[in-house]
Amino acid sequence: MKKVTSLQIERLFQFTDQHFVDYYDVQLELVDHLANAIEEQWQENPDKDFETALQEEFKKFGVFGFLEVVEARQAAMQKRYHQLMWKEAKEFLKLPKVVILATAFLVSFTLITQITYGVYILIGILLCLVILFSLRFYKNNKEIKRLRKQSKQKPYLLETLLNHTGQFGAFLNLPIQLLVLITKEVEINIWIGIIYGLLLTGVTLVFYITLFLLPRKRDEILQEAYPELKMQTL
Amino acid sequence: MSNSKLYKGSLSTIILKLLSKEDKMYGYEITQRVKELTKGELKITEGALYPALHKLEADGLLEVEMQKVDNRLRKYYKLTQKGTTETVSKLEELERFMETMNGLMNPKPSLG
Repeated sequence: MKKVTSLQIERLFQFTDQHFVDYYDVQLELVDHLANAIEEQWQENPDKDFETALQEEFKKFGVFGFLEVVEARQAAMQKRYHQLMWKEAKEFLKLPKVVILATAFLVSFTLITQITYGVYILIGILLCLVILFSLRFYKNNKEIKRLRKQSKQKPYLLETLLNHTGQFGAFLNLPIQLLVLITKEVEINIWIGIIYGLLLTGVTLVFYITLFLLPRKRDEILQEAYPELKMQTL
Repeated sequence: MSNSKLYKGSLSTIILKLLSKEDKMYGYEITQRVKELTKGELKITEGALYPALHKLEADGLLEVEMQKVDNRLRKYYKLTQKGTTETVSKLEELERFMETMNGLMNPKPSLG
């Protein structure tokens, strides 16, 4: 039986690349699918040209090409990312880490409700945290660019999510915005203290998880999601 | 998917059922198996199959295994424990649906 050659496999990777498949894990699956389908065509007509067979198979994916497959994979991996975040967050709801959360909440609550100009002190603290988080974000990005330059292949989808904090980075200045709002339009009372305390503690925890904890476990997480990485390290 | 939209809602069940009979399968193999079992009546399109597989994987019903075949890596899907349980309930659900449809399409003549 006529088989797809290594050179043609490379062409298939290039083809998926040209059709907006930006993730290696999605490419791997599509390349194998296309190769199988082309080999199947060759069983009936061994003389069929590789490119013609490829175009015929691509048409079967419909008018949107590989887009539906990529989008479904993105949704699935976002879900996995959120599950990882939730797993880390749950650790903060148990002893001993819950003490850190409770302290953060009490500090925010006290500063907002009990201390004159406390909101401004809190803004100062959060500003320091946002700077720290932004520096980390910048450092993570620099590291990713370095790794990408070394590698010829596209990144894995989950790797991209881990590197880009699963899109949460866009909300980095949210804590400050929330507090600026309080100084202008909100009358401070206990309920505002509780709501803001919870909100600020929650948002800070999300950034800590996405910027520090998950990137630290990057290799472990990726090997769990992509068994082929374990194969490579064997 | 397919030549009929009627099958669309059952795609996950079809995949789970096929995987319950095999240890593991890969995407292309699933499309071919369905074609073979239905004698070409049902063709799962690629644009429907992979999103369904990825969703089942994200829901924890399937797990993956990679294997090097010829000059490429192949991704195999297999049922998890949760997937095995879910297959049973999905099949029951499908059977009930088929009975209901059958009752609607072929109502038994009532006496009196």
